Amino acid sequence: MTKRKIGKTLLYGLLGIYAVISLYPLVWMAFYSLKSNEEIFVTNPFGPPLKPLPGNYYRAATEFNILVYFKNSILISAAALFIGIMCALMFTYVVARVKTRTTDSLRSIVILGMFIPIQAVMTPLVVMVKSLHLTNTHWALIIPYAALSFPFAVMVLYGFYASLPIELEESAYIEGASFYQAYFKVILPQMKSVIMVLLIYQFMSNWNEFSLALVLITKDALKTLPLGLVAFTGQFSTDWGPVGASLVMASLPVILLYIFFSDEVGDAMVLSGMKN
Amino acid sequence: MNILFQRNKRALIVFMAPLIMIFMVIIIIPLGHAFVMSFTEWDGVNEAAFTGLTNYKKLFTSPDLVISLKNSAIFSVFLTVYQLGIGLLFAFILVNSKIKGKKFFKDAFFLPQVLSVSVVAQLWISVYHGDFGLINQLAAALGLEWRQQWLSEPVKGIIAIVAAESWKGMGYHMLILYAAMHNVPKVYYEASTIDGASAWQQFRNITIPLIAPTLKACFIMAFTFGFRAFEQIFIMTKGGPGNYTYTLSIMLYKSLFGMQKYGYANAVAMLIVVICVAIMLIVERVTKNMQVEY
Repeated sequence: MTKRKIGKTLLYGLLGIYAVISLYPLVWMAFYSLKSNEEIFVTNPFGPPLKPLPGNYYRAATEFNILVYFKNSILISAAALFIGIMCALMFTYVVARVKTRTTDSLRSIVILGMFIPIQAVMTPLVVMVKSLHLTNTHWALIIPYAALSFPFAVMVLYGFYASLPIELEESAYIEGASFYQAYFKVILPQMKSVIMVLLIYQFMSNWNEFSLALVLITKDALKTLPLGLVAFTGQFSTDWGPVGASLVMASLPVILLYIFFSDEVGDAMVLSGMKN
Repeated sequence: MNILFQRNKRALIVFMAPLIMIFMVIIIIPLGHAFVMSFTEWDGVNEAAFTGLTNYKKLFTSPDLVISLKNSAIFSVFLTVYQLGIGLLFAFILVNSKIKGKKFFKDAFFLPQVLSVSVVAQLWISVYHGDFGLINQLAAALGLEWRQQWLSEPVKGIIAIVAAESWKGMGYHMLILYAAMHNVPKVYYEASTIDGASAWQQFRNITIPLIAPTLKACFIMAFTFGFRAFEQIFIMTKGGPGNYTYTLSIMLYKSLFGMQKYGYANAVAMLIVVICVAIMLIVERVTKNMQVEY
């Protein structure tokens, strides 16, 4: 009995220590976002702020253009999300319902896209975007982000469509529905839960994407949040308070999203783990 | 083809066309383009000149290549051991032990994964800061005369970066392994408990064999990551100082921006693809004969 108690205490200790490792750097960041340099460096490096400086947030919001980056990130993430999921929904529907050699190999090719490192297509994309005069437009990122979401979305949706009985369409057709009516009125509403999972997963990856944004966007006014963040944290690296404030502001949307939807996020991650 | 859909061939094409077009333009065509262009000298604007294997010869004799591959190997091994080792341990504990607060621990371990790479990199730059960083300050508070310039020394630099990367992504692998372990039927454990098996024996003889496919997927993801690693390194050190923290992706970026060597950049990209595919094939090959049937 006592041996089991010791074992349990050890387990809690282990989990507790790692929870501190996992969370304390974030708490530390939130703390220093409200401190002056003097407090961070000398008087109070670890604890909560003694003289909170909300002004750091005001400076981050104004001097660092963070609102512009925010707007760009939301616009690009949302547009890529919409285009990516819509295309994947329609494509996968056909592939799942009409099984021929062509549709099967199309599906395999798209899913294989998952294994292509982004670096492989980076250089040609830079050149293509330039020659189409899309550099420094939002489209330079929207379309590639949509394309990058296809493999995962097709894989997940395929399994889901396959589980829907064909009788759904049969009865719709008997009642005189067209192909489009049957799809948008009968099939699509059945997909709500999986679309939700996909939305959350893809939003987070679009929101946090860095490499492509780095090579495809150069104009400051079009930068996304991760990109803008790097630019100004580099520039203001000696002012820790406002830098911390900008980090907190950039993280809040995804942290809140995660807190509210942690089960869906978990589902999405589990699905993504099956991708190999 | 199901009779229901035969009358609607045009609609089928309308449904499939957008994805196929975008996928062709963004993935397939650029991939072929990158392969062809890796045999040319090209600045991205003017006509490319075919130069055969010159780019590859240059790449394989580059002094940056050795350090890049070494750094990638360190990165991959550290990341795999950290994320899969700790991830497996915590997943096993969270699935099989009767403790309270499982959801809290799961969420706490996963939280860093949802953050943007820019946030994580900047946060860890301040954690590693030579004068005021969290680690050196903690050491000072404990009375240790032990200051480290984490990010500006050869091997220490890449390890500092991979530690930040591992910290971010550990929860991701833990969650995937957790789900796989959750699907292992409880009866196996019950039966072996009756036989007097220890937790370690259960872990080795029941859990590991039954989650082998998932474990393999996680291993491939983690192990190829070192060879793809770019974002964290780029933000934290830009590959420097000198070429101390170079990896292949940093080589690619540097030849693209600054040197305008698009042909050479594509050769580097092809090497990344070949290495990642090779790792995948080797893992598949090695694990092929290890499948256990229950």
